[in-house]
Amino acid sequence: MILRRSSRKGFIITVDSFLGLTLMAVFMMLSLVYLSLVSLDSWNSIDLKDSCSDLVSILEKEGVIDRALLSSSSEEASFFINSTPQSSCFELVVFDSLGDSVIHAIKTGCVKNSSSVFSVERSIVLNDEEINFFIVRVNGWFK
Amino acid sequence: MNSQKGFLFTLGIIFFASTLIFYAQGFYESTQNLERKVISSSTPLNIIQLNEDLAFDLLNIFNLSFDVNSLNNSVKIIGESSFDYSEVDSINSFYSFLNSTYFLRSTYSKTLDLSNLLDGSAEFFLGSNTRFDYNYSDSIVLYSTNSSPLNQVDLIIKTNGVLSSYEWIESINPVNENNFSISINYSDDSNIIVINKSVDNNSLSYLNLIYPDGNFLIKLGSVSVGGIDYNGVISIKPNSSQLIEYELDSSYKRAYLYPVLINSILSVSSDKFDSNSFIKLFK
Repeated sequence: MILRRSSRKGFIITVDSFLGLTLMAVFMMLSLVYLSLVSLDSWNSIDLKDSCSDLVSILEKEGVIDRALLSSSSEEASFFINSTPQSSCFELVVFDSLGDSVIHAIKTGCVKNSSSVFSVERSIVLNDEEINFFIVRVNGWFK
Repeated sequence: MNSQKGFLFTLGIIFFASTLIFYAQGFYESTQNLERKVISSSTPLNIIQLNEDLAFDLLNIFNLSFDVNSLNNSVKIIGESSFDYSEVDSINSFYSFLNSTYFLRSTYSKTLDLSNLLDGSAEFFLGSNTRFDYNYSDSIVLYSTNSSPLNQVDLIIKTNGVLSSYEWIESINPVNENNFSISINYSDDSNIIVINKSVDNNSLSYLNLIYPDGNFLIKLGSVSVGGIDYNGVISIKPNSSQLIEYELDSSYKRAYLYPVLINSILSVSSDKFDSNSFIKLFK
């Protein structure tokens, strides 16, 4: 009689702990599902977009793009792009008013294979003897 | 007793686990809401960037460079005057470039009203009372509409012409408070003129640089602008064919020079918003 009562108790404890563990696992799984849905991609994209905006502004205001267009050389622009933070990649393309690419530079060691590339464009007025208009685009992505 | 303890323990665990799920769900939703807010708030940011981009382009069209230091109530304007250059033609070309190429490359409906810049003059508003009028192929005038007195003016002029002669006429106020310091450094291919004086804010002083084919007149103090006399004015008027580069650094005794606006309005609209703003050089 004593033996029978103990074995029943043991059985109930086993079932109870099994149910408890299962319930706990379900709760944990549900929490993890919610946490895994949290995405920080768009935050990174906003950071990247700001970096692209800053870079293109600096390139224009420091006169780097004007000098690149006047000398038809992207050497100085490449130097600027290469001095950006290690984790980001940038590509500079300058288009004339007909949409043809006239200057191109890409950060050393970067290959454009990321799925999320951000682009920022600015207009450029080159006032040298005669006035000309260009569009400069900076593409940015994470390494 | 033991079963009661077990029951409480189970309830505690269920409560803890539910809280965990509740917080995880809350964190997920708050991140999503914050993300939505950040993405929607980046739209006005784009307009600010576009505005700043167009302001810089307009400065390039006018061959001007501005630097405002609000702490010293001072503004530095660097530019050049040339009669060979047509600002109106350049503005028209810029307008067609914007509408046929640049504005079409991104979303939202955009227009830049440049009509106020096609009447022979571009007006720059510095703060609420100071103006810089860039009159095409004629003159530049920096003045305060409430006649805020000048404190100091530094003017550097460079040209490749050859000066025939010059005339400096100064007015000094007996009350020293009404005077301002003026420093003019002029240089051409063969002459250097340096003037360091203190002149009156409320009466006219001028430097007339005379060339074989015309003159270059710099007026300081009380000057008529558009038929109205203002005190504390700096006016530079070239009447010769020389390309003249100037660097004008002027500070006021009482003035706040922010924001710096150009008399031209950028309109950006979509089905969700409608934005109209002056082109802004500095906030």
